[in-house]
Amino acid sequence: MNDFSKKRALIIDDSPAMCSSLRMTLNNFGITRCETSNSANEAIFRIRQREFDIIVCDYCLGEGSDGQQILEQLRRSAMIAQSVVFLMVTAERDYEKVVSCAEFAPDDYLLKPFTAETICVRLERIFEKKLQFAQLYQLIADGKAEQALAECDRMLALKNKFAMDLIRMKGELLIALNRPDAAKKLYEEIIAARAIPWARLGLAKSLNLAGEPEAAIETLELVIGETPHYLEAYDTLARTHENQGNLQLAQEILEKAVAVSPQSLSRQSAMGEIAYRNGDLAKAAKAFGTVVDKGKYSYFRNHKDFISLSRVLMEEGKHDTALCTIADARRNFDSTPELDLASSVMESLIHHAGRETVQSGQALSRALEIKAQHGLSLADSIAVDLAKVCFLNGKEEEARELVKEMISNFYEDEKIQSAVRGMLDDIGRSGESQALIDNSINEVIKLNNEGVMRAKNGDLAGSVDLLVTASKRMPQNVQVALNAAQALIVESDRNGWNGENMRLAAQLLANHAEQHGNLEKFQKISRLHKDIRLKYGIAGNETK
Amino acid sequence: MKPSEPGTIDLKVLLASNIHEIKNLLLQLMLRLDTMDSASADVIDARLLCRRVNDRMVRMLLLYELQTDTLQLNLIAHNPADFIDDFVRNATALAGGRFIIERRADAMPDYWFFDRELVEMALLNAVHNALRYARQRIVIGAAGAGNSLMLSVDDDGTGYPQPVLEQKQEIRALKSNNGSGMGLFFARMIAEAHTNKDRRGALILHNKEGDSGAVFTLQLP
Repeated sequence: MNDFSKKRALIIDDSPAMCSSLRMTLNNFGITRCETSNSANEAIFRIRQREFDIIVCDYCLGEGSDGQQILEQLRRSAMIAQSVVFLMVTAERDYEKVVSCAEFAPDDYLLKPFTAETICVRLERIFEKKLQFAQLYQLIADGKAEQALAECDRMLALKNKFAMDLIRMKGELLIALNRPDAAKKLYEEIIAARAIPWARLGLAKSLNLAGEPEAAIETLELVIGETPHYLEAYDTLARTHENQGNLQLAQEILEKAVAVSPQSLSRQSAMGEIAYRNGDLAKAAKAFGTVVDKGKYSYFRNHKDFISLSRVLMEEGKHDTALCTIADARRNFDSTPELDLASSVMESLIHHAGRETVQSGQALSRALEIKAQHGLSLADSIAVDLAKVCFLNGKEEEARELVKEMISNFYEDEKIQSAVRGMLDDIGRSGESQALIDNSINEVIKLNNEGVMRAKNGDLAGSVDLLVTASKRMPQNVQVALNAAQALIVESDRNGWNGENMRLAAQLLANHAEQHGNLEKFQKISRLHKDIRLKYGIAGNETK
Repeated sequence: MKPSEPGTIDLKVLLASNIHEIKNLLLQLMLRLDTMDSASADVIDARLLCRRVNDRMVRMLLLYELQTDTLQLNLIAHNPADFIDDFVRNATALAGGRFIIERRADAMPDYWFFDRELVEMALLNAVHNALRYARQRIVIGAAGAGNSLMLSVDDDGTGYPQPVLEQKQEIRALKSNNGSGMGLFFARMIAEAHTNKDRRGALILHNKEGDSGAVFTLQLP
């Protein structure tokens, strides 16, 4: 039996009577450090203040929030570690439908009513599983997908009662590692034994990865037909349509998902985004309005939704309301450079639309000042808006520079290119767009090639110089960063240990580890870094 | 406040919120009982009564789902060994030392897909019956049998009477709301709702040789 006495627990239930009943029960099997919260926000406040080992949460929390939302927000924002036990308590058998299709499932759930014995046994079981999975969770948290996959296989080879969980994790790892064929095979084997919704979804993701979107769409439609509450399937289907260029279909699918679960604000926000891109301003305004309104008191609200709402309102010609929304954002959030920049850009755009040139110019100057001061390089629509409002205010040089920066940072991102193209069309500069985009891309490629060429010709110092400068100019460009890191490491290999260069290389790798850690080239250069370190007998100085 | 028009009352919502409330109260009652001395016969009886109240309520909901064709199982992979262990612990707490509860497991698969709560309810009902008819021993078992999982409860009583074995009791129970027949009806319904591709679950009732005890088995595909 587990020793519960060292564990700290949090009970979340809107009924104080229930909280105290549960607390007494937990006390009785040794969990004396027990806090309670009657609302989602209070719970999140406590979770931010201290670490808990066990969270017991009621599904039904009244007034527009439920336990599943809390769980998803906590897991998605990594506010609680994988080792934290999350136990859902619910009176609704309907919750089972939710949990069987949830992206983030609780460690277990209990249907009311239950006995003290049951909750104790379930907690013991969860801790047993956490212990078995501890190493695997750690590998995944460290982004070591390859090793995690090996650990999955090792655990599966032994007789393991958590085999299903392991297989599911293995599938997700294969997808993360970009191995569609192996993932497809794994999911097809499960489906042959039993048509489990998550296996079908996994199969669809593998098909997408394998470049078979039609087959993926067919599979996803089947999943949604059989399990209409499987929200992640709608999300994946919408994304597949979007990648195929069918924005209208993507919007329809997300609208259906929102109808199934109006509570999920992040999905509302995604729906608003796509409706806006489709020019469906009414639906976009409604979606963002809901997000802003319902999320008002949530810890997880985001200023970007205010910005998006204001943009839609502006395009609907409601300039005053649009400005009010920005003022709301400034009032509701702590002031950060990001918020300040986004707000200033919007203010400048709105004033321009209202023909208030002086105010528009002032807001723009403020935006450019913040950008220069903090060196923000943004990948979202605000960056496009900033370039746009520069053009509109006659600052053509700045505008072109901004476009160049965006494209060279994200030169493999179709979405950003098309956003830039759309913006230029919008302000009657369609003629410029191809040249501007192509030139930016060509410049990056030229720079990259030049750097690689110099290295090949033996001018290592020149190569390092060029690539490191380039990587500073376009910090999000992974190819440039990897080439720069490689040049830095090779320099140490040839000319002897250079601590500063090796640190910089490690830093460049670390900057891209989260998003691109599974790229073959990334792993090759990481290994090279390690080999050279070993060659000189320098202990690992993992730069975070 | 003006009373609303009769037509505007959403009966379904009202019923659901009341049931929700009852479950919450029942949970508090059960947890309260669990903090009391478990050796006291009154407490043991009170616990059994709580279980039975809950049982009747779940039945009511299942009947509603059956009637409206909305019964949907939640098939999730569970480890049968853990499930049986937990169940035996619960049954032992319910029996309160009056019976010997044994656990028997053979050739168990690592995982099986079933609706944990409903299967538990069906088995619990069998345990309630066994507590009434057993002499001293109740055996709770789980076994993998080819492409099925067999979960069983057997006792050392006098066995099922013939009408029960012939399912006549269940039919009669539905007409006259008779307790044990009703429980079997629900157990059968739960078993049969478990399907995997074209195979369907079943409830199997039989007596041990010489009527030396009843055997209740859920066969889950």
